Amino acid sequence: MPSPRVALPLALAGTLCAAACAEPPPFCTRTRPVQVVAFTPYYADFSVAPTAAGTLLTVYPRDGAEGYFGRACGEDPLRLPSGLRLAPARVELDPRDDDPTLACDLASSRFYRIDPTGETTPQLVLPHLQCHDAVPTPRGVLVRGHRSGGAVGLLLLFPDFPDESTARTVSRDFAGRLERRDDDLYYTERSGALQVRDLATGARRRLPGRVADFAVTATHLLWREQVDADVAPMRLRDLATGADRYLGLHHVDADASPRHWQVPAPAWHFDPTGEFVLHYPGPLDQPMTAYDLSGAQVPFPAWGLPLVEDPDGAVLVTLDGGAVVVARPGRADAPPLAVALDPNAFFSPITALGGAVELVLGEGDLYRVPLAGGAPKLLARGVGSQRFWVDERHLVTLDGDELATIHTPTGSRTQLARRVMAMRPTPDGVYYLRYSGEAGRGDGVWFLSATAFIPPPILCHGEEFCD
Amino acid sequence: MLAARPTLLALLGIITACEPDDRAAICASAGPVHLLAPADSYVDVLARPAAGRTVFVLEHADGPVDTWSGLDCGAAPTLAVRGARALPAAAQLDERDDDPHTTCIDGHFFHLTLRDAQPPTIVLPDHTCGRLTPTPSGPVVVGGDVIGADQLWLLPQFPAPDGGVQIAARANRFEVQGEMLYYLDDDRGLHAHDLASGNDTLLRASVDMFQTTATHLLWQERVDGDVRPIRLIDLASGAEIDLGVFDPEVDGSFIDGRGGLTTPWLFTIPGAHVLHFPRAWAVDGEAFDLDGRRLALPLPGSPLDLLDGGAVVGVRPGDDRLFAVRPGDAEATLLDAVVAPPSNDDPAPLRIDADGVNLYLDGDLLDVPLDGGPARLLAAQVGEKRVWLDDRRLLTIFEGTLLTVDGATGRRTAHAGHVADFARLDDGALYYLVDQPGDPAHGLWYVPADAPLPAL
Repeated sequence: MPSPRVALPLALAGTLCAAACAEPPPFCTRTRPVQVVAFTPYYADFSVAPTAAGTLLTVYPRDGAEGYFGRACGEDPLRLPSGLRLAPARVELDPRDDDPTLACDLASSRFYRIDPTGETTPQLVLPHLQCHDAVPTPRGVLVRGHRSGGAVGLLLLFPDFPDESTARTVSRDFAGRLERRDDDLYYTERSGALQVRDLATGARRRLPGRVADFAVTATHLLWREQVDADVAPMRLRDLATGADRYLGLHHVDADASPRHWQVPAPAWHFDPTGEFVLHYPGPLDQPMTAYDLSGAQVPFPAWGLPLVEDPDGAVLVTLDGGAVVVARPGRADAPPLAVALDPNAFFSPITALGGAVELVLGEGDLYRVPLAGGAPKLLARGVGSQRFWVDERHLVTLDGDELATIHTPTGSRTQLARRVMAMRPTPDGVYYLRYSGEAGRGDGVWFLSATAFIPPPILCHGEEFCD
Repeated sequence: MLAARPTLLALLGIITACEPDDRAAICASAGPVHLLAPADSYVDVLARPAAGRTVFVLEHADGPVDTWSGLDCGAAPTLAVRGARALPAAAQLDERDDDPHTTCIDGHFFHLTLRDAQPPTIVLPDHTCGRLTPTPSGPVVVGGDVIGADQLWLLPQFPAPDGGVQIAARANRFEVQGEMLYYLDDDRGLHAHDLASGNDTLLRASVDMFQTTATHLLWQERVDGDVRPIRLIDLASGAEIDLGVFDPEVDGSFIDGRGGLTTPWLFTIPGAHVLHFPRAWAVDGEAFDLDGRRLALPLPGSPLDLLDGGAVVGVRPGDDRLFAVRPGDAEATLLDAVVAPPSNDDPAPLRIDADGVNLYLDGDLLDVPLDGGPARLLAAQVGEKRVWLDDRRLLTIFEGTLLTVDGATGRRTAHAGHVADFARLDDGALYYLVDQPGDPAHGLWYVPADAPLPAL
C-alpha cells in the first residue's frame, strides 16, 4: 500500500472530485502536457497553489519574480502586475477554501489583496500583520504581528479573516512558540509565562513555571525552564496531576542543532507515540537518551545517528559501526534493519509509513522495508530525488531531468517529459518546470493532468518538447 | 485660541487635537501645539516634510511602526499606514518636493491615499525603490530584481511610468553627478550617460570599481586577478593619471580592523585628494592630489571616518587613542580622547561630525580639537538624543525631560516631561513625543521654528 503521505495528491483529487468536480474542466483532463507559463527559468524553483477559485503561480525568470493567476489547472493564466513573490494566504483549514484574492508576499511576509484579472495592482492589507506563519484553526486563523520593527509580541485570532472588527487579541507578549490541541492553544510569552487559551471561549489560564520552550501531548508537557539562555532544566509535567519530573539539562551548545538532518526535531522532543521523550544532542560524542512518562530513563541506543522516527514508535538508528538498527525506546534489543545502508553515502529522505519505511538505495532502487522484521521489497529501479505514488502500482518520479511513471509490478517505465528541473504534484496533476537551454524552446511551467499517469500514455513520439 | 503652554494645549488633545482649519494658526503658533493624542504609546518619531504635508513615522515601545500624515506643520494628522514605515519616496532633489502619496515599503513603490488608513496600492510594479536616486532630469529607478545586475530607468514623470527611458539592461553599480550618470554594465564596462540628452558613452572596459566626484572619476582596472591598476580621470579634459595598483596582498580583504571605512582607495570629502588605506598594519597610507602627486598619509592606526575638511580620524591600537591626519602631514596628530573602536557588540560613544569630533561619555559631551589640544566639556549630563539649536544651545532629552543646555554657562532649562523622542527639521521646526498614556500631554507636539520653547 502506498504511504498515506505520498498518495495524498490522488486521495485529495478523489475527495475534491466527489465534492465539486464531477465534471472537471477539459483542460484538467488532457492527457498531454500543456504549457501554462512561458519563460526562461533562472532558478530550479517555482510555486503553484490551486484553490477552489483558480491557480496562483509564481515563477522566477532572471528579471525577478512573476505572479500569474489562472483557472483550474493553471488554464489561461494572467500575469499579476506586482513584482511580488505571491502565494495564497493560508488562513483556512482546508487550503481549497482560501480566498484566492488574498495573497502572501513571501519576500516581505505581508498580506495583499490581488485582482485575479490582473487589471489593477495589488493592495497591501493589514500591513502590521505577518502572513507566512499564519496558523489556521477551526476557530479562525492565528496571525502574528509583523516582524518589521520587532513586532513579534502580537498574536491575534481572526474568526473571519481579514475582518478586523471580529479579531481578538490572544497576546501582546507572544514569544513565538505555540501548539494547539483541539481548542486549547498553548503559547509562550516573553515574560516566561506559558498560557493556555481556550479558542472557543477566550478563557485563559497560566500554567506554573517560567517557560522558554515546550511541547505538549494530550497528557503531558515537556518544557524547558527559562532560567539561563545557555543551560536550562528540562522537565516533564503530567497535565492531569501537575507533577513535574526533572529529565536533564538543555545545553544550547549541544542542543541547538540537530544530530542528523533527517530528524530536524528539537533535541528534546516527544517520540511520535507521545509515550516517550527522546534527547538527541547535536554532537556525536554525547549520548542519546530516552525517558518514559514517569521521567525514568529507559533503554535506547546511546551512540549513533537517528535517521527516521516511525509513527509506530520505532526509530532507525545508524550505529557507530555503520549498521542500522530498529530501536524502540524502552526496549533493550534493537534488531538490525533488513537492508544495509552506507551511512557515508548520500541517500534521499526516508519515508516512514507506520510499520515500514521506504528508502532509495544505490542508483535509485526504491525499497519498502518492514520494521518488525521480514524481507525488504524492491519496488522500483531508477527512482529519482522526488517521487509520489499515483496508486498502489504507479509511481511518478523526477529522475535526473526525466519525469516518468513507473509501473511497479512490471518495472515498465513511461517517460512523461524531459528536461524537467522541478515538479510540484497537486490533486489535479503535476506542474513541472522545463528548461531546454536552447533559447526558450518550450521553457517554462507545464501541467500534466493526473489522468495522464494511469494508464501511462505514450506521450513522446513525435512531440516537440519531449526530449 | 492656541495656547502656548503645553499644559493648556494638552486639554485639546483627544485623538487629533487640531482641525485642518487650524493649519495656518498652528504654523504661526507662538508655542508648542499638541498635534496628536494617540491611544497607544509611541516612543520614537521621525518627521519628513513633503509637498505641503508632514509625514511622521511613529514607533511603539515594543517595535511596530505606524505612519501618520499631517498637513503643513503636521496639522490634523491621520493614520496613513498602520504597521509600516511609509515615508515619501525620495525622488526629488529637494525632499520637500517629494510626493507624500508615493512611498516605499519593502522595496516596492506604493500609492497612499493618506486618508483613513486606506490600503496602499502598488505602483510601478516592475520597478523597485531601494536605490531610487533623484536627478535634475527625474529620478533614476532600478527595475526588475536581477541577481547581480539591475535595469536602470529614468522616469521623468515619476511616479507615472510615462516617458520612462531604460538606461541600461544590466547595471551593477551607478553614481550620479548632476546630469551625468556613471554605471558599470554586466561586462565590466564603465559608461557615462547624459541624462538630459540620452547620450551613452563607454568610458572604459574591464572596470572593477569606480567612484566619482563632480570633477574626477577614480577607477580600478581588472587586468587580471592580481593586477588591478588604480587610475584617476579628469572628467573635463579626459586626462588620465595612474595612481598605483590594487595589491591583493596589501589591499585585499579590507574588512578588518580598519574601522568604518570599507574600501582601500577613495576620495576625501569633498574630493580634493585620493586616499589609499592599505589593509596591512605595517604599510602606511598614502594620498594623491588631483594631479597625481603622491603625499604622505601616516596612519598610526585604523581610520574611522573622513571629515569635511579632508582630515581622516582614526584610532590607534594598543591605547585606543584617537588621531587625525591630513594628506601631506608629516605625522598624525594624537587627540585628547581615548575610545575603543566601534564594533557591533560595543558601539563606541564617538560621534564624528562633518567638521569635528564630539565624544559622548557617561552622559557628558566633549569637543575634541583636531589640533591635539585638550578636550573641552561642551555639556554635562545630556542624553544620547541631542541636537545643537545654535552655537551654544544644545537640545536634548535627559532622563525623560526635554531640555536645553547652554554650553557656555551650563544653564539647563526644562521644557517638557516624559518626553520619549524628538525630531528637528532642517528649517528648525521641532516635533516631540510625550509618552505618558492617560496624561493630557500624552502624544505628539509641534513647535514652530521661530517659536520659543517655554520653560516648564
